[in-house]
Amino acid sequence: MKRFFKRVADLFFVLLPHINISMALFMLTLLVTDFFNRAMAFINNNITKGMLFVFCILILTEAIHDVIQHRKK
Amino acid sequence: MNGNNENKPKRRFPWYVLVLSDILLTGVLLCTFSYFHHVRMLWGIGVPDSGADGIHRFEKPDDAGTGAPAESGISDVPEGHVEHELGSDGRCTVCGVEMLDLSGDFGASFPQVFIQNDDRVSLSDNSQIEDYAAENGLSLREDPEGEYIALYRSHDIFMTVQEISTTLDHSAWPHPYDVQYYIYDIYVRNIDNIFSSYTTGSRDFAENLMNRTENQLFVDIIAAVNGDYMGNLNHCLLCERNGDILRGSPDYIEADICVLYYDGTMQTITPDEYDWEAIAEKNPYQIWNFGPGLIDEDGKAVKSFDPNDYDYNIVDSSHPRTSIGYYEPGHYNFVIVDGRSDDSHGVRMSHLAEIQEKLGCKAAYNLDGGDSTQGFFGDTVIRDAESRTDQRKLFDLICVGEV
Repeated sequence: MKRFFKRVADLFFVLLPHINISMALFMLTLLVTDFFNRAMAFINNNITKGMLFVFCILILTEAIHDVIQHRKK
Repeated sequence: MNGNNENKPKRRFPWYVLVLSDILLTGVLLCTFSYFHHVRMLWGIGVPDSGADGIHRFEKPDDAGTGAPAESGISDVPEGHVEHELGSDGRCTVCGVEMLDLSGDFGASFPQVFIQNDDRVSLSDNSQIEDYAAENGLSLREDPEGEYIALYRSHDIFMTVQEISTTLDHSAWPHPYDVQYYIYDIYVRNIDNIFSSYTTGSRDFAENLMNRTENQLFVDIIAAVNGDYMGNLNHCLLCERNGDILRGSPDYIEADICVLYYDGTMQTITPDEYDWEAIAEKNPYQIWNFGPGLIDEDGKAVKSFDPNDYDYNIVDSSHPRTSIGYYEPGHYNFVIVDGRSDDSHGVRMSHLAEIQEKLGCKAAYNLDGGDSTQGFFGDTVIRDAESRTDQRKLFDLICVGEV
């Protein structure tokens, strides 16, 4: 069981940078479109705020994981 | 066995597969976002959701508007009085008998402006309009920079459209710029003569919205301008059309709202002033949620707008604009400003407020602008998105018409 969770965790940390890249591109796209048309509220809406929250958590997770890995080395 | 697996070389994807998968995942995120931001949330307004306090519809009360005044109370009618003298209130100044039709919600407030029978007059030439007004004792607003392009007069409606071409000089711009705007001056006998044409489904061209409303409500639309683009859930948290609450937000609003009550009064309300109980008590007929409000409590143009609700791009840039103004119950205006063209640059929000202040409005409210700014008079397009090849589809219009 422990091994299974370890595999899932490994897979998660392999995928995490790609998820973060995609989330960052997603946020950048919204920022640019919002610059051209603020009235559509691409940034100032609950969906984007939720996505931003998730993005922050994922970034924090990856950063902490990297720091730990780096210290192990 | 396990040791053998761990010693196997790890299979790595080529770099371009990783890049493509990242881009694909970004695309999936954007598509999912668009679905919930544009499609499902914008257009999913067919059924009243919460309603405000469970109220989904406000009915017109029997005593809406100012109504016909009571008998004049003149008791000492001189003997031999035969010929009545018309007073400004539509009654004989001597005996008080009604000489004009004072019926309707606001018929007694300005009886002279309406035709007394079922005739309808529609004119589109400036000199003809001025002559007609002079012959019929109608006062028209004079502006050296403007000319009248439309007049409509019937038993229930008196309306003119004036086109103003002017040059503005603003410190933020290196040189003066031209602006064209249109003032719809509107008198209605009943509050029902102002109504909304809207769709709770997919947005549609303004002409289609008007045709559908005419067929469904059996009305004859004389003029229309765009509303607040009510399908945009990100802005429009509270929405009432023709007495129906389409979307309720009894707890809070995020931007100014404009409420037209059944008694003909109109009020702009900021998020800080918002009190649903007070609004519901006064029986609202239409509620628009876009803004900002343009006139303060003292009747002066609002100079600055809350940056939390209205950001720089919306307020301080010159755009085509649409606004609704209120003078007194039964007397309103629409001001639509052309823009983004060589003939007209558009205006900033503060200038739109100044225009409404000069017109003498007690309350005025900005509606959706940009390419949404569209105005019609009968079959004539007063302002459309001329700079674009495609006309923008709309969710709603504010109409003036025969009912």
